Amino acid sequence: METLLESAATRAHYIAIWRWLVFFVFAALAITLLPLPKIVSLALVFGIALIKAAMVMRDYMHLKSEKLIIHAIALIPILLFIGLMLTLIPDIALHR
Amino acid sequence: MNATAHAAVRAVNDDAFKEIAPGRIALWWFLASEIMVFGGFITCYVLFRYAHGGWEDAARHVNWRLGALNTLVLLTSSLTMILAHYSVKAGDRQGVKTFLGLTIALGLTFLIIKGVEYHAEFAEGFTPLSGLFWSFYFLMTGLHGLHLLAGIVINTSLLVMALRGTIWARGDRVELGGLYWHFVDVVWIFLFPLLYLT
Repeated sequence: METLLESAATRAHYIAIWRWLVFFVFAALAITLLPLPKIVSLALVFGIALIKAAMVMRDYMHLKSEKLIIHAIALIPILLFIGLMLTLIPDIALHR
Repeated sequence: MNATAHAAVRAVNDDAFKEIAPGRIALWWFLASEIMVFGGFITCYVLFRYAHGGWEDAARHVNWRLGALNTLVLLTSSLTMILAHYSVKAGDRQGVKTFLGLTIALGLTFLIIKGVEYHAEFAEGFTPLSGLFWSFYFLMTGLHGLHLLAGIVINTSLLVMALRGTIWARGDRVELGGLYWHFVDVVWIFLFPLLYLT
């Protein structure tokens, strides 16, 4: 069992992560309202989505304290997903 | 492979899996397959949208305010889910019941809001057959909704175990349920900008 002090600190950490996630939701919405070039707006919005996903996986799914094998299991499909997209670009996106 | 090499491989494998519960490894394998499922759809959506263009007009009809509200609901449910898991570790019996109940309620809230969105879209005449954007929209949000529904069923069974007092012997199930729930949240984190903000 954790001490009361550790317990309060852990809960405060989870709540702090949630506050950051909420902040990033509003930040993404604000970016879409700004008069930015489309490509910049897209890059920022998806950059924020990546940060939010990383925070959830790192802190809520505890990837930061997982062993290498769990990281590998999570990373392999992500690499396959990126590979799939790169492989299909010539056939779909560039085939107008 | 000779005996020495065999022993070395076994030692590496033993070390890699040491102290990882088999259920957690199995769940991460399952989540890996889910990444490929959603990754495949997201890949097709991004590439087809880039190739064909002109989807902005259709995308303007989705209700980004409700989408943003649902994002906040789901992120908050991730907080309550991790607090439920933490309550198991801390031995807080009331906390487990409260936070699991809140997670289920927030999950149901998400589905109700999504239902309101679908109703408004169907009323405007937008169906999965209204064009490529709408096909992808209903496919990806529908599949995500089904995953969320499965998460609600899992959490409800965990809540029943908590109410009966049988969850303490299998506290790891809350962690596994939480991993799945957070994954569904991560999927939505990408679906929201893809479908509502671009």
